Amino acid sequence: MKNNYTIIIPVHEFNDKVKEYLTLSLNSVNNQKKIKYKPSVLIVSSVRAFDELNKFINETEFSKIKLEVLKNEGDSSFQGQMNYASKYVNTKYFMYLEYDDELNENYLHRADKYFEEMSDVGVFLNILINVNEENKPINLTNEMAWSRQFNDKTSDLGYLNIDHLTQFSDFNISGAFIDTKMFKNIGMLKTKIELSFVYEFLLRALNSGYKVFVIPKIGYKHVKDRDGSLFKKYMLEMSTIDRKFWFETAKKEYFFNNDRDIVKDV
Amino acid sequence: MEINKLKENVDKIKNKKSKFLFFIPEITEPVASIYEIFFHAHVMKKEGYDVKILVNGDSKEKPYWIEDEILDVDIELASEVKLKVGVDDVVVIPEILTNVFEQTKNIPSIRVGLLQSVDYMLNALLPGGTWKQFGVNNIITTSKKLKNLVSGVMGNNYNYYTYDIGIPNYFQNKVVNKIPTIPIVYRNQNDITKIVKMFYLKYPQYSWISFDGMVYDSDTTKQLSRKDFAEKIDKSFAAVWIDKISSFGTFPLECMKSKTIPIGIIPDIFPEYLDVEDKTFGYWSNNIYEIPDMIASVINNYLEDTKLMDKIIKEFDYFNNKYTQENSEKQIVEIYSDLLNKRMIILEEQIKKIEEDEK
Repeated sequence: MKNNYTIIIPVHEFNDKVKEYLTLSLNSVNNQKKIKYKPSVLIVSSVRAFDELNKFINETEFSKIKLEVLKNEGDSSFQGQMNYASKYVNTKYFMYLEYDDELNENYLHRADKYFEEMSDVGVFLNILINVNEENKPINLTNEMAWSRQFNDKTSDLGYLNIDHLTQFSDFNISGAFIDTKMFKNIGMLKTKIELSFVYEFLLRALNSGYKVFVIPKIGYKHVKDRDGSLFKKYMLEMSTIDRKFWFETAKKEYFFNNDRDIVKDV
Repeated sequence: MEINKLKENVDKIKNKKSKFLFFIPEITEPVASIYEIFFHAHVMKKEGYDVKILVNGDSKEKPYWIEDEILDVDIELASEVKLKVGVDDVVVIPEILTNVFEQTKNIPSIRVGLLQSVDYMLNALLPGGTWKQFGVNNIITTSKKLKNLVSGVMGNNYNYYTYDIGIPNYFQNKVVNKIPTIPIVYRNQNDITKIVKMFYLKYPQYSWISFDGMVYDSDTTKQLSRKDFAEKIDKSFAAVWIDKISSFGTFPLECMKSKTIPIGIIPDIFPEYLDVEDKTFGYWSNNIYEIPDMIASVINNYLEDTKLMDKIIKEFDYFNNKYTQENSEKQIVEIYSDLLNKRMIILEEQIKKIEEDEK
């Protein structure tokens, strides 16, 4: 079977803790069941992390994956890293995997079956299981798309629409397979939006006529609110007013494909 | 004169001119047992016989939930139809219609009781009553377990016939990516309400999983045909079946043919198809209070695509060539042919006796 996707792992810094997490994360790709090809993994590194990270990768064997480290000398924000790496993707889809998270061992095999059947989908989300740093399950994310209460009678279970997203914004693209062409066509992730850039991206994808579907499988184990993570930082440092501002901004900006300057008038 | 009549009866049997009359109660909702009667009628019509379905009620509307291929027989109201029935004709009456057994007991024919539910049979019989008193000597049942149970109660002085129910070929697995909704099929609404409430209380993390009563199409008020029903089962990863008084239970087989995991209460009559060593064929319990835990376990296995999920589904291959309509059809034809042959032998013996007496 053809390899349909590239997995992108952004790394901003490199130390023993990152090495430990990244090894787990790469092993979760390396140990995928039932697939007969080598998944491509692009680690996109900030300039400051590159040398040590590259050395570690060269010294460590992950026999079942094709691994490459990219040095991003430009914008090293999360969105900047993803946008940069996406330019090197030559597969139909790409996926974003946080260096401290893991894939379910059957996820890639299962995802292939959805690609075969649903070629018109622009973004395949999956159900994430959120765990704490002690690896204890906390809750699920993205599963709401399969709820009858959440879906009205006219919408198909499993698909997101703009009405859903205006009611409920907590969807996560970690582990999502994103159509590479679509990602570039609609303007990638916006670097000028903080906090709600994933939400804005999903709204924009839908508004541009692409389908967003949640694969009803736990594909991804997400360490929630890890110290030092971007979203933990937002939670700690951002006021409620600011958070509200960014979600309101997302609802205005998704009509535009370009990454416009945001005037923060609060 | 009498000998000519008898010879005419024999000729009718030999030339497949016997009539087949299948009685059914008035049809209100989809029921597997009614489908089965229509299937018998369809099979015998295909064999070239003159077949009629006679409704014991006021409506002869064709059941919307049975596929057209099976509905190729005439349906008449039993109260209106005028038929000449002879000793070479076959009258088939389901266990639930004791009144029809009574009303037709003097009609000369090959009389057959079609027994698919012990519960219905016992409800319909008066205490101390038997089918013999209605002139019924032949009983067709749908499983050996059912036959053993009934012969234990009714005695061995009936001609018992057993055949395997056939599950239509449209109960098959076509859907690769099954969805997290759970069809529920039940006899008692209270049971299912209890299970669903317990499940949501105990497993709020799965409150997004929905149950489907399988009566209507999800998005409309259109009632489901059996083909629609099969498609819905195929889409789902698991289904719940609660029917303690079932005498056979086609639903779990329909699920397994569709590679959908059945979760159920084991009926009082243990389904014969579950009685296979080293195989579990889904999730089964005698205790209704365990069903919510079993549902949660199946969901967990489905969401994580575990090896256990693969193993359970693989077991369903066991039924690939079993309980097919082709096998069922063959067995049904054999049963009715045997009944007709036996009647022919009796008639020929009577003819022989008369001829010898005349000499």
